Amino acid sequence: MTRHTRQFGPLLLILVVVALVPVLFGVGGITNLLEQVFAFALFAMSYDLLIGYTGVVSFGHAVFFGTGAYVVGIFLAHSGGSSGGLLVGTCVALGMSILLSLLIASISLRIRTVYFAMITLAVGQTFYVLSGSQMLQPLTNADDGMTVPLPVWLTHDRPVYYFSLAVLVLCLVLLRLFVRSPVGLVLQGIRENEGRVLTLGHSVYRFKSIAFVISGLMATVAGILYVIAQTFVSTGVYDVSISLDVLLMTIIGGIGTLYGGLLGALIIIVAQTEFTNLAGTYPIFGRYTILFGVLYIVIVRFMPRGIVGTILESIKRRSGQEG
Amino acid sequence: MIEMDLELAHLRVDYAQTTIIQDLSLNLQAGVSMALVGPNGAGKTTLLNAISGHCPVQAGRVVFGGHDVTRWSVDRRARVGMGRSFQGIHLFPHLSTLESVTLAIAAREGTPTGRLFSRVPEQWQQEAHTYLQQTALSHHAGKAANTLSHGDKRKLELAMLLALRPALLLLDEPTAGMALAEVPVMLGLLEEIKASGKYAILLVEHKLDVVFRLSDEVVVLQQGSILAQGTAHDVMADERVQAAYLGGQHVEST
Ligand SMILES: Nc1ncnc2c1ncn2[C@@H]1O[C@H](COP(=O)(O)OP(=O)(O)OP(=O)(O)O)[C@@H](O)[C@H]1O
Ligand SMILES: [Mg+2]
Repeated sequence: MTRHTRQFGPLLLILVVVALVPVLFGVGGITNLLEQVFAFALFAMSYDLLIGYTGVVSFGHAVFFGTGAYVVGIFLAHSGGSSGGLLVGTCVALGMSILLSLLIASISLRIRTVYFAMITLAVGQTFYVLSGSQMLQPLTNADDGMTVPLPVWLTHDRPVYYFSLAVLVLCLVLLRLFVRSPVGLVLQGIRENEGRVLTLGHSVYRFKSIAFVISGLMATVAGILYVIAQTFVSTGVYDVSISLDVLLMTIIGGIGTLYGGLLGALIIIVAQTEFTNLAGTYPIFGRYTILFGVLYIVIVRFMPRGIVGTILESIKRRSGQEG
Repeated sequence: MIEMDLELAHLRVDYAQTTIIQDLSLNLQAGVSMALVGPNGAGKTTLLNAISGHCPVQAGRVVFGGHDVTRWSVDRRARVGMGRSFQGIHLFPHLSTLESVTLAIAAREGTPTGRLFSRVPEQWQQEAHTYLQQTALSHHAGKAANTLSHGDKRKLELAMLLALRPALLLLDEPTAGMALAEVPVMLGLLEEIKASGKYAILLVEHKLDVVFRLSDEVVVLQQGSILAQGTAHDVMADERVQAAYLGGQHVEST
């Protein structure tokens, strides 16, 4: 086997299986669940770019996710679900995302990186309040949330499924290229030893800003995928709990592995759905967030590299022994 | 070509209320190797910090290659040709030696931020290999920096510095903490670097034999001021220097 097939073989296999799901299992519950997984997988991978590759912690990554969902939701709702609305909304959302990233970078980076987490949280909470405010009710439908009509070509389950999958794969390829680029290498250097990167002559400020922008853009696209899957958007997309969920997904999958987000999102979304179903019969399962807390501690304690990280580690060790 | 000289004029550095470097003036010409010696706490590291931008300067100027860099940031100084190593190990623990050196090449080349999705150029990797070869680290190319022996870590620091192709090398005790057996290798490397004549070198070193072999000129620092300056032989023959050293008791030898 060449190195490439060994590396990408399993991924291609997974992709084929995922692509066959509508054919094998039909559409409906399962495809809708997977569409949510796609959205959160992309969200988690965008988060990994910050925490895993650059070494920056954010508690408000939902601000990008929420903005993607809301802006596209508003444009779709107010254009009666036209393709133009989707396109313009996407462009506006991406533009806003870039501005937000640069704004947050300019406030937080000049001072100290610790502030980044706080500032993202503050900005996220501001948007949370705004999205639910009565003042913006004509635009956002305030606390009640908005039903979002989709363009005709996205009104059936299958097209939505393949559209989401295609966007996810495209973003995954871009992210992978990005972390392998010279810029990605500099970001990993920043994670490892920021002072040394600076002493080599890299403008750490500029590289962190780039990381924020790319990560923010990917999270925004994730929000867009989410609103397309849900055909509904409410203030929940800006909630702190979403930022915490995505942190958990990234940690479970494995920080700094990129692909870990895929697995982390799958586990958390499926678990959330199952627990919510079970809670219908056994109310105790409604408290599943406690279980997530326990899971979080177990992973951090016994599997600090997450699932994907641990697997990659053992493969590496085994091939090291052979060689 | 601009001469990449270093000029320090009436430099003063304070930590809190204490003056560490006092009215210090010094010239280092391109291609010259200067050793900075002096007892512990004399302010040698602080002086390097002032030159590389790692600590603020209260008075005076640092001029490098015709630029007044006194108020410049660390990274900006590095970009005009200052290469700095530290007294302690200061590496990228989980990056491979190859990646670490490539990172230095990327800094030198000013990583094009427009090409966010393209691979690390093959050329850089090949070049990185040549620096690993030069520092006798080729066989560790894929190893993470934190798995290296202390001596190899020191060599990796050097490989990264060379990859920057700096005009000025600021080396803070490059053999510190090395096993006795490893020192000659490092010394050989540093001699080669000096002999190439490509760099101005400011070397902090306690080991006198290293100082004798590697320096054209020696500056003795005591309590933040220059006590003596000249060739190694002249300086070491100086009574005041001997007094300072005997008082300090910090002459090390290999
Ligand atoms: N960050 C700091 N804050 C306060 N004082 C400091 C700081 N760094 C160094 N000093 C003080 O400045 C003086 C000079 O320290 P410096 O590290 O420059 O000495 P040195 O000549 O490099 O010594 P050594 O040979 O031990 O490395 C010492 O008295 C030290 O205690
Ligand atoms: Mg020192």
